[in-house]
Amino acid sequence: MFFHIVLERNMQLHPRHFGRNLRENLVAKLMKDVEGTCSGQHGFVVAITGIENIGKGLIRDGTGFVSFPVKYQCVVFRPFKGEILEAVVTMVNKMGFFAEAGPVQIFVSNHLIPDDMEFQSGDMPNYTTSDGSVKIQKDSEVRLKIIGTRVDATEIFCIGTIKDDFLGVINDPATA
Amino acid sequence: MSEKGGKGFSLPTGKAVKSSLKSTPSTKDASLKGKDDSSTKSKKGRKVQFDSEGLHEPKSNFSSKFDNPAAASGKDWGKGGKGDKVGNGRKKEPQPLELKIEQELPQSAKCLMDCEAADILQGIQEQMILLSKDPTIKIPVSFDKGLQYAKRTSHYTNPQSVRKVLETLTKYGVSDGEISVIANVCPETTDEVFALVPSLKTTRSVLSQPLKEVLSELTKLKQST
Amino acid sequence: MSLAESPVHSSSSDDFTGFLERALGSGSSHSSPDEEADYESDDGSERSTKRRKVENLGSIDETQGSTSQIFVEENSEASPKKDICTHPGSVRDLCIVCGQRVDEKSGVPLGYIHKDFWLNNDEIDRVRSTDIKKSLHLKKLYLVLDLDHTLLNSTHLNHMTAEEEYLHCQTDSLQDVSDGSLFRVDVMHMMTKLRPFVRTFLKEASEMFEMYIYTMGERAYALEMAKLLDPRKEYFGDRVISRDDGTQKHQKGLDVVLGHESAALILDDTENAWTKHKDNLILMERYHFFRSSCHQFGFHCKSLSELKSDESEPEGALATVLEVLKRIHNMFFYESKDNLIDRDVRQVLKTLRKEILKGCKIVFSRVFPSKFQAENHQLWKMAEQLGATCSTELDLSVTHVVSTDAGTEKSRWAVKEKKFLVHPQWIEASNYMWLKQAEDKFPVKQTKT
Repeated sequence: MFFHIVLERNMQLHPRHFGRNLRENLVAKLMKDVEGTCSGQHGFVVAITGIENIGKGLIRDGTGFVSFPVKYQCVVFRPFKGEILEAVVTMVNKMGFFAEAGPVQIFVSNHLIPDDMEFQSGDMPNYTTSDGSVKIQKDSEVRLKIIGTRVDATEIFCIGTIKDDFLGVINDPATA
Repeated sequence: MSEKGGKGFSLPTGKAVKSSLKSTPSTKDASLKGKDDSSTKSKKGRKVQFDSEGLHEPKSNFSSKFDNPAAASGKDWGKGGKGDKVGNGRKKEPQPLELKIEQELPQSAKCLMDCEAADILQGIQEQMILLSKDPTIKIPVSFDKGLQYAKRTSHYTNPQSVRKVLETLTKYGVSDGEISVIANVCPETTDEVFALVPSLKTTRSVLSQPLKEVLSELTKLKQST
Repeated sequence: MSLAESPVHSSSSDDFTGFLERALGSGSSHSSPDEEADYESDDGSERSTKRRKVENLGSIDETQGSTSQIFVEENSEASPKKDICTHPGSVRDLCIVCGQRVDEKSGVPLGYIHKDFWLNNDEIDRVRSTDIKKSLHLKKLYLVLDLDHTLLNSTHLNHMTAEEEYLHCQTDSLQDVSDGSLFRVDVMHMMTKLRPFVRTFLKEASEMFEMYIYTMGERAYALEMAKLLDPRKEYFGDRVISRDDGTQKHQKGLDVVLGHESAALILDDTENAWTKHKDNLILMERYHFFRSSCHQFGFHCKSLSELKSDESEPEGALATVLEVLKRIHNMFFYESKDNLIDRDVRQVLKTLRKEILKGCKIVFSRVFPSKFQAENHQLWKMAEQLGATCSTELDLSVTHVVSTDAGTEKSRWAVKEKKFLVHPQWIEASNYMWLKQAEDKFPVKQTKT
């Protein structure tokens, strides 16, 4: 789920970047530093949308750098256990399939694919119901439920399931 | 092991369900377009944007109910680990507890519906296009992917109207997060809502009727593909 | 704006927690009369999971021991009727079935499928036994293919000789690789030549086998080569295994292959890489196209590249081995009376191999060092695997004398008794060609002493 959130960060800036463009320089550095990063607390920082407040600079002893507390608004994306996401399938194999929801990667094990869907190998591996009416293959869109998440500095990985009511394929590329 | 895999999930996960899912109008093809042109935009433009007035702030139409303790405590949260809980042992229940430890988490966080996020992100992207001076600076992958995702999963063109409709549910104790999930999954029936947002089941008796009305309102707001 | 107005620390974190709690909901309609208590007892594991996660951002967790204990208690307490998840596998330390954090990985790493993808041994067995039933039903076996010297030959650009310079003008476009055979892969600083017949080979083999690439090269190289061989990803999918994925240094193993050993064949030019799986191995004659490749293996003659020549397409190693694969496939599925599931491709391979020199009785002369235990010599064993019988004694039942020197007593006996006198290469060639080679092509010269 996307969130709008206020975060705070101490930005270190060298005095050579001061002057009329101080604010711009701080913001540029902020964007470089935080966009695309993630943390367990707030997930992926997708975009900074505004600066709320730049506090008074504090000179760091002995370095010449000045540290500014910056409060900024940003859009973050963080999947939660129990959340429903729509994801695009990226790889199908006999253990299950991988999918992507925004910057987040998800694995759905064959344990968590409905029992009536069977793995079919071949040049376009897929999971298909016995009557062939529903098929999951690369580029299919599936609605899944997140049951586990792991957050690293630059990556969020999730375990998902489609073995529940109202979960599964929402768009079959083969018929789209 | 395989039978473990099937355990605990409520059934039926039949074809009927899936095919109804399949028939859900999907709007992604259209909304996916236009993402490609984002890779060459300068970040520079955005600085200007910050300095100028123009943040794409969702403004006050975002309720911030979670600043209100009463809203939070109103519901049962014990359901996490009951013996009869669904998918116990593998499907661990709600994780919000994870956040509990993180005292430093900013409390100002607001849930966004995907369509709102799409609006905000697209606004930023458009600003970038407009103000782009340095085509060598690339937009981070996470921005692209986030935008692409938000556009793909947005089922509505007019987030304000959607929120207006859904916010009528807050008086039945439906939270911001639940509202976002409902908006994001674009359900067709109340059964679908209760299945996908099981926390609502506790108030099902009072919620069913207003929810039904909300869903029919939402149907009118769906993007035409 | 609203965000600015709400003081950052105005509400307690519990509120947010509560909000999310309700927002994300639980899967249960059960409502508890004693919410706080449930909350506490049920979610000990959650909290410690999280705690570990937080710690993992910085350092490796320390709470592992106590945590697993909590898991057990928590689960047994909360749901006495249901079993605890056995965590059959994990990706990025998350159990693939319950989504919980698992810190102790056991079983086999399948890094080629995804970073940190692990399946435990029971799960691998389950996957294999499910898969083999389907495969056999589809009349498919598994085939593991080596890259270098088997399907192709690569050289570092810096190692190319002046006589190979002309190749730079003959490389095929990387835009559409499906018809080309010579590629300059700049990202790897390499030039790669695909072995003649490889496209036909892959196409036809893919109808009989589920195929894997398994190379001792690094992953980036493996993936680049897979792109050249299989641009549409129709043959290998994500089944591209590199040395980064092996479980043992300098060894390849079928343990990371999700196909049953009894149905898996291997094509490789390096026997020693497969010490545990020799019975599955079909040894390939090495394909050396580039000069550097020849050098590396001690051949100081001109390379195919320098001679502007190449292996024969219709009669080269891949064409030969494809015929062998077809015979094995045919024997396995159509000529066996055993239950399908009981059949073993290793047995078929062995049987087929024994046909090659069937009826030959071989005596060696000046092939092994004099003190060497003859039966242990590789050529002796090879001859036996090819169906020949080997002996140290001459008698009239002997059909072939294999020698490096026509002047030895045994060699002269062979000539006198009108037995075949052949060079040891006759056995090796028969082995590679899967056919008894014409003896007159392998004459033995008299060494002058």
